[in-house]
Amino acid sequence: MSSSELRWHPFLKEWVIVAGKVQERPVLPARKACPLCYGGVEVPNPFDIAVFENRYPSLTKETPDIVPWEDEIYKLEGGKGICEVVLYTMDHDSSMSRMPLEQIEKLVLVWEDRYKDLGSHDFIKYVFIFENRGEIIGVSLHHPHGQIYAFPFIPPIIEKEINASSEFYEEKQKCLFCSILDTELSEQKRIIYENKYFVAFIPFYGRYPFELHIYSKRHLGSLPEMTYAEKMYLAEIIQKITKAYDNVYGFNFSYMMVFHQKPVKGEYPHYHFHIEFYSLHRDKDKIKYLASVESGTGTFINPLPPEESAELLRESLRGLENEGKY
Amino acid sequence: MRKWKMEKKLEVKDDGRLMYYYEFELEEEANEQ
Repeated sequence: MSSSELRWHPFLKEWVIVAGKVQERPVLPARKACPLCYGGVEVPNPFDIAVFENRYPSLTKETPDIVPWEDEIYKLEGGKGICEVVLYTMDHDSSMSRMPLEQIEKLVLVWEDRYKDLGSHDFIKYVFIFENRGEIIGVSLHHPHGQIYAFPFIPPIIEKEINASSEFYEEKQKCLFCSILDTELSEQKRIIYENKYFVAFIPFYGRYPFELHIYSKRHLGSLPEMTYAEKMYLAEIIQKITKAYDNVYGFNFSYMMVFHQKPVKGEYPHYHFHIEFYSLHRDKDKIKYLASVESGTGTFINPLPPEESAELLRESLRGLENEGKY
Repeated sequence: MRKWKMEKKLEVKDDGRLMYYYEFELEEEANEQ
């Protein structure tokens, strides 16, 4: 099977992507065979930051060779979308935490451009920017890179956030995200860092150990709504947080970094731009796996209280500060 | 604050996939205001 399919889950009422092409992705090739290095199979030219359509996409840009159908229970559609790879740097051994701030500033501008560009396709409803870092997260290539999935539907977690924030607004006439930010700033105990335009904190309800959210202080829905200064400060806080992660246990911290922005079509006045980081590290040498309870019930068990994660990350930042590492 | 000028160059790979090279030039150290 080479085309991507969307199969409707009648109980969860959400799409499942079935994409056989993904099976062909190379897994942890030798360094000299890195396809993302300059001269590797994907990158014929030197670059500063480069973006290309994934060779092994979960969603395909060409209309899949599938006739949509549905019956009383099941529903099937072609998985039409766009999957891109974002190369952060030519330096194979770098990472978000080790890149110069200048490089992250450029990256933020590229992410904004991709959000606008991908969002301009009529078949795209949601643009999802993310990075997986570390083998325990499932990374198959070590070269510093992120990915973007442009979806033909609004993914279920985003939809839930949209609905929850709309309901909250109906009831209280204020933004749920702004209210959370106000609460965290007044309590301070889960705040990790803030700059002029953004705040990083461990949410009260964090599901993963070291789950951390970055909220914009201003109520806005997406990167294109930010001022130039806000984009530069976003780069600064991302660098600070990824450095803090690496300094917690003194090794390259594995994480998932996901951008939650408003959908690219329609009006979503109650949605609020933020970035979420999830980790599977629950101690220096212990992993928190998502196993039966999380997968089978959807209920997460977080073994590390958010307040403890917050203290560890604040301590990590203080350590970096004392060593003059930022 | 650094002010970046960004340019994008499009290339089409042999198999039809699109690739974008982003190039940057530092325009100025701009005041935030």
